Order: sequence, then structure tokens, then C-alpha cells
Amino acid sequence: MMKTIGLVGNQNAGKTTLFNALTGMNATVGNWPGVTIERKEGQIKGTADCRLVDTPGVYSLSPYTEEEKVTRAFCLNAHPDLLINIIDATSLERSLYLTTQLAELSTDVIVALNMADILESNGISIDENKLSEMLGLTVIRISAKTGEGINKLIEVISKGTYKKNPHQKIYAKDIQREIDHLEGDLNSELEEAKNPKFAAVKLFERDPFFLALNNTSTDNEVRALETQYGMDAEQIIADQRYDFVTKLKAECCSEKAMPESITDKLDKVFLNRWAAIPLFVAIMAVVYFLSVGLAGSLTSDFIDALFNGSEEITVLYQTVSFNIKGLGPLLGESIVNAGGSVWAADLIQNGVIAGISSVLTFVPQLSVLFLAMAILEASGYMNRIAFFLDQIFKRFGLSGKSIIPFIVGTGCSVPAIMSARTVENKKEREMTIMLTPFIPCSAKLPIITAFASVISPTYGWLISLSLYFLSLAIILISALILKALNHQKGDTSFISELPAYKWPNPEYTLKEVGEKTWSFVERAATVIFFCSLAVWTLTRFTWSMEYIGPSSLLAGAATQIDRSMLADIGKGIAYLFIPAWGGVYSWGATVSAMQGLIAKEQVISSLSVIAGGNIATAMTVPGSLFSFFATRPLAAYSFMVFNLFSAPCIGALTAMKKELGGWKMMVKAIGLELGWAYVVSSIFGLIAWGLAGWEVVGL
Amino acid sequence: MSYPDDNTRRLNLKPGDFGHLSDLNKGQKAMVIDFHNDNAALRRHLLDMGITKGVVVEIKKVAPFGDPVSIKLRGYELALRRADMRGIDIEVLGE
Repeated sequence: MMKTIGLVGNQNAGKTTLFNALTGMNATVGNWPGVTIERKEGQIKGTADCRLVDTPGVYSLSPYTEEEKVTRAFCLNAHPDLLINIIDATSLERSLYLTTQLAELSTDVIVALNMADILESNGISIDENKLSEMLGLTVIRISAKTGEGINKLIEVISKGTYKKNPHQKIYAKDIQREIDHLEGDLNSELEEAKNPKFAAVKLFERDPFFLALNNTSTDNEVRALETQYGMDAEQIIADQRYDFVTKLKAECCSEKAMPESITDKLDKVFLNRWAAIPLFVAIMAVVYFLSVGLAGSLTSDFIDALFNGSEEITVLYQTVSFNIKGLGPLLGESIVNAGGSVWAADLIQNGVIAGISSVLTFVPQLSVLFLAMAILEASGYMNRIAFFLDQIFKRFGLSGKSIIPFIVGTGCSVPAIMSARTVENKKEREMTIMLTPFIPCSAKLPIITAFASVISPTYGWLISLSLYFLSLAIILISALILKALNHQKGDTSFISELPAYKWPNPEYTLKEVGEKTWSFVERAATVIFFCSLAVWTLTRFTWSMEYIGPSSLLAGAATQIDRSMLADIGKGIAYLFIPAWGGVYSWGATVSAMQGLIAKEQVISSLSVIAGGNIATAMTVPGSLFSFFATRPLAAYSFMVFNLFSAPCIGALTAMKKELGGWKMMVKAIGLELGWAYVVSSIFGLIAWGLAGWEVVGL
Repeated sequence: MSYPDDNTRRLNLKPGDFGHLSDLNKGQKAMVIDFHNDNAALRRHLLDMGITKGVVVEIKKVAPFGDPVSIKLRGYELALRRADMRGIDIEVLGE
């Protein structure tokens, strides 16, 4: 029979690293039943029947955030066969506090004493045999990072040679007597009584979740104890758990006084009163320069050439001759040569390949961006950002922790919206979720980079950066509006561990980057594929299904795209967008922006399908369909702005609906986003229009 | 023992003085004497994070804009807003 083993521990205890070390590369990712919280599972290496389930990091089994509720539900109701409690050996007390709670469950617990590799440099030595003896649980010293002790841990799990949970009595005699009494009186038929020791303590604490279990009235006895101890029941339990843990630490652990730690030294710089914000801005600028600027300019033209062919490409802002036919034209030609019709060749070359490649060209810069984010997260810097921005965000009705979804959102809004769960206050959380889609996500990056390079080939990355800060401004202004609408009071809080700085594990960081990049490619291959097909059909046929696409595959072959179905649709809506597009009546730009509601990646590929080839050419060569973007650069800017701030893709909308708990809030969020997108892009558009002497183009 | 009830910050607390955790400056150490908070969930969470009677805390880092504050307790660092530290009564300790 398959054994279910839960991996439980504090945040930042190294859970993800240990999970990877125990399961190798065979993890599957799904959701916990009923919630959108990610659930990772995998088979433990070298075993046939041990399934490891990762759980969200918790400090206690009294959940404070949505994520923590999941872990408690798993421990209490999923009846795991074994729990591995990973603890950070450098903060033993706080870690063992959770252990005292897990040890009250009916499940067996193995303690994995992590961070063995850095104990010595922290001046700490721990006697794990003594710790094991005093806890009554098997303790194994490991380093998830270096792999030390992992094999031993696996061996103990697979052979079952761990200690059975002895249910140590850790409370003072009078308290323990009362808890035992409560345990004896439990209504054992109820589900919650499956963990009687734990339930008894919770009853003592008057945890509302367990009150149904109470058979007898012991309230007077608990009250008497509270008076005697001068604390309430919750305090007594927490106090005594920590007393037990402090005693453990005193017996098993010795600490040498150490000179100022590296973390403290680094924080003197990164949290410095004057340097913190400039450093943050500089770090984000470097991230954007490396991804959009360097990786982008180095590779995107080259990749585009591989798919669509070229004679010369731009690498690092230099034009290089590069003559290649390209996959699309090659396939198109061979279809025609094999006697296929021009429309079939056009479908492959200009529908499918052009659509997908316009997204794939952004893979290198995305992976660099994902890598940078993973490093910021794993190193502990992300927690610092939340820490020093909290004071600012608080004024806007947000928490410093809102910055984490915002930064994750530069990758994808979907996980970002989910990561908002760490924000404790409900109103703050809702606002964070509603505002996260304003962040330029990776799928919006293609739009930004394509248009930024039309505005200024050399300083495109700076324009990208300016959009990043514009989106922050929009977020803060919207937050103020929402805060006023919500009548929010200042009764929120910010509680966060400030973990020591760590070197990210290169292997697992790269693995994470790989997973994220791959899921982006998968989207390109599925959603974008079908959207490209649809756009191609709508641009190549009239309402009476007459083919009006190019008559040959030669570049510049005549099409009657303006008679197409898509053109008719766009022509109706395009009037609305004349101010936003800088006085230009363009159905092509309009329908492309509309498709962004399905998937943001689709905007650029739609523009290129409509233009019938390379989007950069269509914008820069005079007289082309979208050349107005080059002659009116602010119109290009406002097009970016609209796509940046308009409602997010279907995926993000679905995540928002789930996390906000219903349609009402989601519709409110979409309204807010579309409204902003239209207003702000129209501001830039009107300036562009004014600069062009209020001349209307395209009507 | 008497504690100030208002929310104003009492500066320049000396070792042996009583006050709130939010009164302390960077580098000061104190022992937690008592702890109250109207928000039951928050109170519970702070207990879980190790803020119990008798625990020794040290103000380690202050965010660039003066709030939140990072306190060291039980061998780790916890960031809190001053507003939440007001409910924590302390006795200032010497070096």
C-alpha cells in the first residue's frame, strides 16, 4: 500500500530544497482540494511505496493565513502515515515549537535537523542524540543543500526504523492533568477526535474549531488555572511549549558568541536608511537591463530569423548580415512545391509559425527574468523588500508583503495572485489581488519590448523600465481609490520573519526557472496556436467565406485583409480607440489589443499575422500597416500602456475569481483595470495626437 | 508597576524602566512582561512566533522609514510594525 508522508516545517526552513532532494525530479504539481494553493507530490527516491506531500510553511498548527489552514487540514484530516518535520537548526526554539504541536498528533514524526552545513559557521553545536532522547522522536541531521544525511533519512523512512510517537507529556502537572481529563471526555465518534491529544489541548485553549468535541463542562477548571497562572489558556499553552523547548535547547545545544553575522553586515547596506530604496531601484534596473536589454537584444532577432527568415538581424544594437530562409517560409514553399494551395502554405507560414514564433522569441529574456526573480526570492532579499516598503504600502492600504505578488507578477499574474495569500488582512489581500494584474507580466513583455524598440532601438530597456514604474504609480493611485471606497481603517499588521541571507542552490534554482519557462512555452504551443489559427481565419476570409489572403507567398503579395471578418469587427470598435492610438483609426491595433483579453502573448502575434509578417518591419517601414507607431512614438507608448493595464488574460481572471471568492469582486476588478487602461492610454494618445496637429489618420 | 495607557511613544527608556516594546530604540534589549492585543488572531500568531512572558528581545533593525522594526528573539529575527508592538509590555534590560 502507498504510504503518504507529509513534509512540514516553518517558512524558510528549506522545505522546497529537501522536497527536491528527497524526490529527485519526479514531482507532480496540482492543487489542494478546494483551493488554488499549489500541492507538490513526489515519490521518495529509492522507495516504491512512499509518496511525499509538500505542505505550505507554518509556524504553528493554529493557522493565521489561508495557506497555513491547508497544512493544518492536511495534518489533521488527511491521516498521513508519517510526518517529516524539517527544522532550521539555526533557529531551534521557534522550529521546535511547531514540533511540540506535531508530536501531539496521532502520526509518527521524524525531525530533520536542517542547515547542518552552516551550524559551525554560526557557532552552534547540537547534540542530536540527546535531542532525540528528550523529544522521544527520531532526529536526523541533514543538509538539504549539500545532501548530507539525505540517504540516511530515506533509509530510516523506507525501513520504518524511526521511533513511534511516544506522546511526551510536556506541560506542568496541573495543566497536564486538565488536558488528560479533557482527552478522556472526548466525543470519540467525531472526526476531530482522531488526534485526541491535539484535540484536548485545543479544547483547553478554547479553540472554536474543536468546541463541538466537548462532552463535559470543564470551563470552571480552566478558568481557575488561568487565574492561578495569571494568563489566559492560550498563553499558558504557548508559554509552556516554549518553556519545554527552551529547556531542550539549553540541554542539547551550545552557542558560541559570534562576531557580527554576514546577514547583519549585509542588512547595514540593504536596509540602510538612505541606500535601501536607491539600491532596490538599481537592482530592478539591472534585472530589466539583463533580461530585456541584454538577453533580448542578443537573441530575439536571431530566433525570429530562424522561424521567419531574414537577410540581416540586429544583435546588441548592431546590424549583422544573416541570410536564412527560416522555418516558416521553408514549410510554406515546400507545401506549394508539393502542389498544395497557397492558402494552406499561408496558413502554416503566416498563421501558425509567425504566431508561435512571435512568442517564442521572448523565451531567452524571460528565462533571465525568471532567474533573477528566483535568486531574489531564495536569497532572502525579497523579504527585505517587503520589510522596507511596508511603511509606504501601509499608507495606501496595502501591506509590505503586497510587493511579493507584485514582483512575482513580473513573471506571471497567476502564481502572483496566489502568492497574495501571505497577506494577512482580508481587505489588503483583496486589494493586492485586484492590483497585481497591473504589473507587466512576462506575456506583456513581448509587447513592451517590441514597441519600446520602435520608439528607441538603443534605450528600449529604459522605456521598459519606465513602464514598470508607471505601473507602480497606477497601482498606488488605484490603491488609494480602493482604500477610500472600502473605508479602510488602519487596523492591519505586518508580521514577517527576516531570514538570514542565503546562497540560492544553483541546481534547484535552475530547475525552477526551467519549469516556469517551459510552462510559458507550453502556453505558446496551445493557447497561442489556437488563437493564431482563429486570427488567421478571421483575417483571410470574408463573412461569406471568400479567401482574400495573399495570392502567392512572395513578400508583399496583394491581400485584401481590410475586407476580412476581423477588419469589420475592428472597424466598429476602432472609433473608440482613436484618442488612445494617438488620433489613428486602426482596426488592426484595436483587434489585437482586444485579443489580449484571451492571452497577452496573442497581441504581438495578432499584429504580425495582420501585418502578414515581421511586426518590427510593419511598424518601421514607411507606408506599412502599423507605421504610425514609428511616426507617432507616443501612440506606441499608449498602445503599450493600454495592453499593460487592461484586464488580464483568462488564466489570471480565473485565479482572481477563485482568490477573491466570486464574480462580484472580479467584475469590479476588470472594470477598474479596463477603465484605467483606457484613461491612461488616452492621455498619452491625446498628447501624440496633439503633437501631430490633431490630424486623424486612417479614416 | 504602571504602564502608560496612551499611544505616544516614550523615548529614552533606561534599563529597569517599564514601557512598551514600541518605545525602544535600535540596540535596546528588554524582557516581555505582559502582552495584550484586541485582535485575537494576531495575538495568537504573536504567541506562536515566540512572544511569551519572560522572553528577551532586542531591537535589531529599523526599516528606512522608521517602521516596521526587526526584533531578535529566540535566535531569529521577526519584523513587526510599531503599532503591533504597542500591546507588548516590557522591562528594559541593561547590556
